Order: sequence, then structure tokens, then C-alpha cells
Amino acid sequence: MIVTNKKRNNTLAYLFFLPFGLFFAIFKIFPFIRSLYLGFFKWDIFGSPEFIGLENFYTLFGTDKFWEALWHTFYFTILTVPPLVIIGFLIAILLNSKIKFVGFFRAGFYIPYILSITVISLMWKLMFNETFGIVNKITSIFGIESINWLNDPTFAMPAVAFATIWWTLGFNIILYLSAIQQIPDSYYEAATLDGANSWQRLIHITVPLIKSTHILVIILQIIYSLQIFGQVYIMTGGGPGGTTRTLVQYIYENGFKYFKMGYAQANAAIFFLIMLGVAIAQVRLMSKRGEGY
Amino acid sequence: MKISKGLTILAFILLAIYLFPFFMMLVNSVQPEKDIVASKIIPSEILFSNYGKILEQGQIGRWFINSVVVSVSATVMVIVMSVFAAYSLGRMMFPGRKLLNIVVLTGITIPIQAIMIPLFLQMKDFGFINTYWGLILPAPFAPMCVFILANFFREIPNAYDEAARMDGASHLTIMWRIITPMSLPAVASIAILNFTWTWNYYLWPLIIATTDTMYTLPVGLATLAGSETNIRYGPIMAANIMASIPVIVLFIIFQKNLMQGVSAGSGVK
Repeated sequence: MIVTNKKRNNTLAYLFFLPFGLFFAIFKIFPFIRSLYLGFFKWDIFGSPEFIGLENFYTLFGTDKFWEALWHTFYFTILTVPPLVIIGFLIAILLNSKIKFVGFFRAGFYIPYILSITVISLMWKLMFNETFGIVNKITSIFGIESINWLNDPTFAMPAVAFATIWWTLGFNIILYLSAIQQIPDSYYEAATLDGANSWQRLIHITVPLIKSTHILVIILQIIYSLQIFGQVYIMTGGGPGGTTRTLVQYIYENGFKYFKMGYAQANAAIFFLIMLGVAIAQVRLMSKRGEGY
Repeated sequence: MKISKGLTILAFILLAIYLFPFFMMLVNSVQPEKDIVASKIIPSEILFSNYGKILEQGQIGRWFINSVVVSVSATVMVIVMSVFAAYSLGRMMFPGRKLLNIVVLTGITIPIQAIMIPLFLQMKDFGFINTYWGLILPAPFAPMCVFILANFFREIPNAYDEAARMDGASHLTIMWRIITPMSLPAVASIAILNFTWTWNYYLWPLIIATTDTMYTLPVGLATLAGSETNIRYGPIMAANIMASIPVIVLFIIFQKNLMQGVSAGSGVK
């Protein structure tokens, strides 16, 4: 009786999982398996695939465009991660301090993040416009000459990075805020009794106690930044002169503009290895530390 | 704790600066083009002709409908799948449960960019290119939703379903009558998250929608703005506002659920 019950129970559990599992297998697992070998084929979408071994990878590593795209991706990541983490943390601290209307502020800082990548890209494209963008209007107050932000090889990527920081900052604020709010008040009260000022409480209680949140936010941010595509594609199209083309854009263009499926997948495999590296780092760092209270 | 006026004012100032670009977008959308060209912050007159102009241009109505169809059906589908899957992962004991948990986590980790080429080829085999099926079915955010919901289900004390099972209730009854109603905030948060993510999704629709009749709003707007049809900034900003209204309305109503979902999905509770 118990055995059949258990068996029935197991079957039911698998049945419940099945709808999701099926979707997951078809639209995630199968493509993933295919992604593992597609890179070894020469395949324009209309012909039949032809096995060419490592040739796609040789071509890739011999192509300047690939290395440039790789560098632009890292450059964007370097430009965005530190400000997003640090400013996000500082604003979360501010919102957690003795202020009124916390809920209002939390929602306010989150608003840009609910806008779509297209919306924010188009609005910043206008703001960065050389002749009538608001950014140049503001910088001109400080006597800075007009800059053609998105069409200047030096400024295009920082401008895209700036727009991105503005767009996604709210996400980090929420993560930090919910971690900080979990720290028991008694910790701060005890520290205050011992004569710690608010700076010391921040450095010696808040910062170390949410160590795992720091790691989480940094890693998530790195993952998101490495995936950079839409903002660049819409704001600069990868230009000027390819100076903002990123890895994902290079995959996209080879795959869906030039239909070099095998070559694009070889590139995507490199992208995946980078992401995998970050994910492994995350698992190792996160498993080492628990939240210390 | 004593409320500090100074810090509250500081927060106000920072938020005002922070939301200034958003405010500019709103202003630009109701400004005559000559104000935009003169980079005026305060409009010389307020008019809604930009909205009319963009509705005439292009197929924004069609894109809006596409976005609604895709986001609503994907979200309904994901909620149903997630409730079932999360119930089995979060509240049932069976061999292989741990493995399936890991599978879900892996699904969150594999980025769409790494598999978009084979996924596209597969959709081509299915004949789903440039169709609603192709836009809806991959449900890229489903693993995240299952993950969030399963974590939530797991935390409900066992006493509830044990009592129900004593009375002879089946798992199906327990799921729909007890666990899901108790988890409505979590279900709401995955619904909002999935809707917002799908509504704003750019990369996959860009790949799978090949003609402008199948574009969703993000793809359509980007194409329209990038086209050479000489569209002014005012109407573009008006389109931006229109495209953002649904998510902003949802956000205002459900902001608490949304933010809880965000923290839960990232592993900070």
C-alpha cells in the first residue's frame, strides 16, 4: 500500500514537472547541446552543414574584429561594474538611514530599470545629441566644448556605459537594501552603546555583514555587463568605425546578417566559456562564505 | 530611530537629479520640435500632436498588439508551468529532485546569447520563424520564475498540507486550494517580472521577427528610430512613453511584489 502510494506520488511529481521540463528541454537543452558542436561546422543557413574542425576558431582568432569586440565588451564591463556596485551600495545606505518615505525613494530609484532597453537607448541618444542634447547643454555650463558623444571613438563607449548605469542602478539598490535591512538592529544598538559613530558602524558592521551580497551583486553585474548588446546596437550601431561593437553584437551580425551560423556559434562558444568562468567563480566565492549572523 | 531631515532632503535631491532624464523624456514628448532643437527644458507650449504623428507613422499599433499578445500569453504559460514545477520541486519528495533543481539553476545560468544561433535554427525547423509561436514559446524567463516560486513554496510550513492530506486531499487540491493561494504575492511577483521582462525583451524578438508586422514594441521602435524616414525626436519620445505605460502602471500597482521578486530571484531574500 505504502509502496504504491509512493510510486504514485513520484509519478505525480514528475508529471507536475513535465510541462516546464518539456519546454526547458526543447528550448534550452537541445539548443545548448547543438551549440556544443555547431562551431565546428561551416554552415550558411541555406546550404547543408560541412564539418571543418577548428577552422572557425582559427579564423576567429585571426580576426581583428573579434579581438576588438572582446576588448570592447571588457571595456564596457570595467566602465560599468564599479560605479554600479559602489553607487548602488551608497544609495542603499542612504535609503536605510534615518530618512522618511523609504518606500517612495526605493520605488523612485527603481523606475528607470523597468523601462525597456529600446526606450532608454532612444532617450539617451537624444540626450547625447551633439547639437541639441541636454548633456552638452549641461556640460557647457562648466565651459566644456560640445562633444559629439555617440560619434566620437573616445566618448561613445563611456556614453553608452553612463546610460546603462543610469538604467540599471535601481536593481543593485534593491538588492543591497534588502540585504542591509536584514541586519538585526541590535548589532547597531550594541555598537552605538560601545561608542561607535555612524561611519564606524558602516565600515565595521554593514560592509562586512553583507559580504555575500557584495559578491552576488558584483558577479551579477559582471554577467549582465558582459552581455551588452542592445544599448550599443541602438545608440551607436557599434560605431563609430566599430569602436563600440561588442561580442554579442559580433555574434548577432555574423549569425543573422551574414548567416555564417557555424562561425557565429564558434564566437558564441567563446562567449559561453567566459560566462561559465564567471559562474564558476560565483559558485566558489558564494559557497565559501555564509552571511555571518 | 530619529528621522533626519537633512538626509531626507539629500535623498530628494538625488532622486530628482536621477529622474531628470525620465522627466526630460516626458517633456520632449509633449514639446514642439523647435523646443527640442533649442534644448528647452520648459516647453513653450504643451501639445499632443507628437503622439498623433507617431501613431500615423509606422505600425506602432500593430507592434503594441504584438507586444500584448506575446507578453500576456508567455506570462500565462509561465505561471501555469511554474506553479506545477515549483510545487513538485518545493513540496514533493521524489528521486531526482535534487538533480532537477540543479537543472533549473543551470537553465538560469545559460545565457540566451550563447544558444541563440542553434535556437534560431531549431525554430526554423519548426517553422516558427516570424510567428507568435516563435516569439512566445522559448519563454526564456521561465527557469527564473520556477526558481523564485519553488523557494517560496519550500518555506511554507508542512503542517498545512499534512492536515489537508489527513482529510484525504490530493496533491492537486493542496496545490490549488492551499499552497498557491498562500503564495499569491509570490505568484504575482513572478507574473509581473515575467510580463515586464517579456514586454521589454529586445534580443530574441529582434532575431525571430523578420518582418515589421511581427515586431514587438522594443524592436519596432528601435527600427523606426533608426530608419531614414526622417522621424523627429518628439514623436519618438512620445512612442517611448506609450511603450512604457503598461509596465509603469504595473509597477505602480505591484511595486512591492516586483521588488520582492527581484531580491528573491537573485538570492538575497
